Amino acid sequence: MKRSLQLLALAPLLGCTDLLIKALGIGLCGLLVLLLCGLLLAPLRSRLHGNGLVLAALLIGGILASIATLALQLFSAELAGALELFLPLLILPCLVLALDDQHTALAGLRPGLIFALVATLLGGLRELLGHGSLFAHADRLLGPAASGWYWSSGIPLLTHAAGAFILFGLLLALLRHFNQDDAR
Amino acid sequence: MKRAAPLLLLIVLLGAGLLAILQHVAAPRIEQQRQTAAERTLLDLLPAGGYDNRPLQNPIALPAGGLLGNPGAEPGYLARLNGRPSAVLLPVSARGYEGPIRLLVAITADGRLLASKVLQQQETPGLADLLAPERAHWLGGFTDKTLEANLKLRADGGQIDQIAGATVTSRAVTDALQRALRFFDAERERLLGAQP
Repeated sequence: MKRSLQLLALAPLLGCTDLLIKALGIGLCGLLVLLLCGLLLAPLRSRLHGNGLVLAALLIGGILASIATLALQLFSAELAGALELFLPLLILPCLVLALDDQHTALAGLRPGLIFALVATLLGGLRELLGHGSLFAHADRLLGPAASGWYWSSGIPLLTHAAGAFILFGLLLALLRHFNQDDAR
Repeated sequence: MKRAAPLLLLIVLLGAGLLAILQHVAAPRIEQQRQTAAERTLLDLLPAGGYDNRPLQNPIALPAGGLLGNPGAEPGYLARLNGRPSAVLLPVSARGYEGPIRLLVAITADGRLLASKVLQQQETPGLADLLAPERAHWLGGFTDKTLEANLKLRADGGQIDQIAGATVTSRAVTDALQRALRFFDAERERLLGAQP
């Protein structure tokens, strides 16, 4: 259950990281949603158990994701439109939080940070190699003064979801290679 | 589970209330953001410092059919800089190979083509797809052309390179650009005189 939920949480991570600015947007949203969800779940843990806690996490995650959608729309309609499809999926890592046995208030901090970091890394790599630019459309989040850097060409495959899977797989393989001793 | 119900209900009510309030507070700002985004997609034809009015607020009514060939009455827009007209945005339709092509053409006040972009098309993907990134360069090649310029394709004995393997599409686009320039020439006074 937990494992498949974590796998499903990959969808926003791979689906909207073809531009660094989109990756930053979803990463920030994920960090805030997870952090707040962890904070709000902590006082409920003494009163709710099992399914009740999961249901509470579902509700809180939904509310937080809706707030994140609203907040993004305040900043930029374009960015909100690009991320719209994937924001509700941020509920999934919240469910993982509820299934976890960690009882601290900051339980959401570590997964949130990992989510944001991986999103930024994937976004940066995919934009750099796929589009051949960096911080394109940055004005959507950082104000009109921000403009990206552009090169001539990239590998279009990386801008698609399939390229995201390949890149993610390569990153995982790299991680495994360096953590070989731990794995054994 | 039974003991949990009131608590969950409380969460639902609190969350719904909070969202309703936030939505209400944010609605005007969100609507404004949506409008500026819509404006940006239409107005990115004009250079950033090329206008200081809000062209989309004052549409110019244009007739259906005629030189522009639009199936319905679509508005054009007038961009002004320091109170003087700087450019006109005209919608033009053409018959492509696969279906209608809709273009938005920007023409400066002195009748030069400033830029054009394809709003809608169904041309063959991979061959004549006008929305493909590499086509932007081809469309950019028409910048600064005037009505006097020879907008004929090489295939028709002119100077313009057509898109390889897509002569019908290329001809439809050049023809549409030329019609836009002719329309501007014929209606210049009315278009530039539109009240802000």
